[in-house]
Amino acid sequence: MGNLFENLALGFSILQDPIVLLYSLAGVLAGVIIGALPGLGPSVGIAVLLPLTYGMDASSGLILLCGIYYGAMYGGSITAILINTPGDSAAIITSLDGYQLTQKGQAGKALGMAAYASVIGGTISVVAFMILAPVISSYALAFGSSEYFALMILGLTSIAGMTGDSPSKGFLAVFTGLFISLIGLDLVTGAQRYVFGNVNLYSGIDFIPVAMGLFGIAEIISVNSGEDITIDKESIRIKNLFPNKQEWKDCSPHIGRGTVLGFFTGMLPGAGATIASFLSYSMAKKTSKRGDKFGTGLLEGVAAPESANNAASMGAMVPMLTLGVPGSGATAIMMGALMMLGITPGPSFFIKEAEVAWSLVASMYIGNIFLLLLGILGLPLFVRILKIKAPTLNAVVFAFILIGSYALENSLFTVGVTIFFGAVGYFLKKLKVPAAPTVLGIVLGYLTESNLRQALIIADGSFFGVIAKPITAVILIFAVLLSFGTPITEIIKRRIAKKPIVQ
Amino acid sequence: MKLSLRQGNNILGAIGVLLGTVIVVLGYVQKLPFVKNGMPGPGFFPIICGIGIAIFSALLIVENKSKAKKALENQEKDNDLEENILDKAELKNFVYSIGSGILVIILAPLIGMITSIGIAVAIMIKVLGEDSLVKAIIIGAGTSLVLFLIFKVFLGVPLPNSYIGL
Repeated sequence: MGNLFENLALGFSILQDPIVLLYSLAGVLAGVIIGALPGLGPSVGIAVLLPLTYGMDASSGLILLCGIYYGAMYGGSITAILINTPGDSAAIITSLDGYQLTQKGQAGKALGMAAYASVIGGTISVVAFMILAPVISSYALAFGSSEYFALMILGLTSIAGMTGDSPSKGFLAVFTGLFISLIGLDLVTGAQRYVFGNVNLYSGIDFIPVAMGLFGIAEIISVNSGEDITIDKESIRIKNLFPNKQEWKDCSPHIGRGTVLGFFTGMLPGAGATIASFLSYSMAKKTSKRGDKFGTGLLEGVAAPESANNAASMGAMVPMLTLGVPGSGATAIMMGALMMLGITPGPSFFIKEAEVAWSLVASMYIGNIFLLLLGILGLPLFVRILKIKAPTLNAVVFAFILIGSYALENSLFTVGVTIFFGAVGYFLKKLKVPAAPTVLGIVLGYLTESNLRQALIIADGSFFGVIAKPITAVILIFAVLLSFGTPITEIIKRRIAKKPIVQ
Repeated sequence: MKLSLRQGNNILGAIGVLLGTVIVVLGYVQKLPFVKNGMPGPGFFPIICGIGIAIFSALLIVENKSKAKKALENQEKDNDLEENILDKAELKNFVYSIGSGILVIILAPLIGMITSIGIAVAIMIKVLGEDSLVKAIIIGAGTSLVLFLIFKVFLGVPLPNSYIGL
C-alpha cells in the first residue's frame, strides 16, 4: 500500500506543472462541450481532438485525451436532461427521468445530480482503478505471444459481438478493419500488400484518418439541424443545482451501487457505459422504495445511470492500459493515440511508463474536480453552445477534422482518406454497421498478426501448439462466448423494456 | 429517393462478398503466399480477412432474408427493415460536407490550406445553415484564424501555403 501512495505522489508531482493541469482542464471542458452536442459522444470527441496532442509529451497527451473521455461521458447527460436528446447512447436512460424533471421545472437539480453522481462514480472508480490495474498488470506480465494473440482475438470478438444490431455486421466491420491495417509493406518479409504502386500506401493506413472519418464526418453528416432550444434560465441557476438533504439520502445508495456495477461492467470488453447505465437504472428501479415512480421524474433515476456510466468509462481503461485490449470505440482510439505518442499499453505499462501511468491516475482525481466545477459553473456556457445552429457547429468541427488529418502526416492524401471514410461511414451508419469494431481492427491488426507469427515460431509452426496453452485456451473460449454478446444484450434490454417505466 | 434497410443490407452484403473475393484473388495475383517456410506468409492474414469479409457478408444477406420473412409472417407493423433510411436533409449535408472536403484537397495546393478550409466552412454555413453571406464569411475567417493559431503557430504544423502565406 505504501508503494501505492509513493506512486501516486509521483503522479501528483508531474501535475504540479501548470501546463499539464491546463491540459486536463481543457480536455474536460472540450469533452463536456462535445459530449453535450447531440450525436457526438466520447469517440467523436477523442477522434476530432486527437490532433491537438501532436507534439505533446505522452503524459500531457494522455491526460488531455482522458479528460475529453470522461468529460464527454458527463456532457451527454446535459442534452438528455434539458432537451430529451441524449448526447450519446450512455445517456439515453438518463433522459427518462432527467427530462421529466426539466418539464417539472427542476432541470437544475437534475443537472446538479448528474454532475455529482458522475464525479462520485468517477472518483471512486479511480481508486479502484489505481488498486486493480497494477495487480492485473503484474499477473499479465507472464503472458507470452500466444496469450497476447488470444487477448487480441478476445478484444475483437467481444466488440464485434456486443455492438450493433447484428453480429454479422460487427464481424464484417472487424474483418474490414483488420484488412485495412494490413495494407502496406509487410514488416517481416517486406512484401507489398495491396498498395498498387501507390507510395502513400507503403507505410499503411493509419487508424486516425479512418476514425476521424467514421466517427467524426459520418456523425456530423447525420446530425440534423434540430429545433430552436428554449431553456428556462431560472431553473439552471447555480443555487438550484444543489439537491437537498433528503434527496441526497435517497440517491446515495443508487450512486454507490451504480459505481460498483458500472466499474466492473466497464471492464468487460465490449460491454461499455451504455449497458452499465441500463443495468444500473434497472437495479435502482428494483431496489428503490419508489420503484413504481421511475420515469416520472425522480432524481434517483438520474443518479443511478450517471454514476454507472462515468464509473464504466474508468473501468474500460483497465483492460486497455493493463492488457492492451480496448473494449470500446473510445478506448480503441485512445489506445491508437497512445501508440502514436510512443507508448504501447500492456502489462509493462505501469513499470516501463510509471511516470505516465501514475500522472494519468493523479490527473483523473484532478479531472473529476474540474468536471464538478465545470458541471456547476460552466452550465450557462454549455447551454449557450447548445443554442448555436447545428450546421455552424458542424462546419467548424469539419474544419478541425480536415486540418487534423492533414497534420498527421503533412499529406493531402490523408485528408482524402478521411473524407473517403467519412462518406463510407455515413452509409454504414445508416445501415447500422458499428464503426468501433473497424477502428479496433485497425488498431489491433498489426499486433494480432505479429503475435500470431511469433507464437507460431515458438510452437514450431503448430497452430494447435499455440491455442492449447491453458491461459490461451481459456481466453479463446471466453472470446467465443462473447461473440454471442448481442443476443445476450438483447435479452437484457428486452427484460428491462418489458417492465413498464412509467406506471 | 427511397432505400429500405432491407435493401441496403442486401447491397452491403453483395459488396462485401465481392470485396472479400477480390481481396483473396488479389492476394494470389500479388503473389502473397499464405504459408512461407512453414510459417504464416504475408498473404496469411489478408486472405483470412478476405474470407471473413465474404462469409459474414453472405451471412448478412441470409440473416436479412430470414428477418424480413419473419416480419412478414408476423405481419409486424413496426418493421424497421422496410423503413426508408435515406433522409433528404442528411443527403444535402452529405453532398455539401464531402464536396467541401474535396474542394479543400483541390484548392489547398493553390491557395493554401487555411484559406481553403475557411472557404469550405463559409460554404457549409451559407448553404446548410442558410445564414447570411456576411455571417458565413465572418465565421469562415474566424475558424481559419483559430486553426492558424493552433496548428501553425502553436503546434508548428507545416501547412501548404498560398502566396499570402496562409
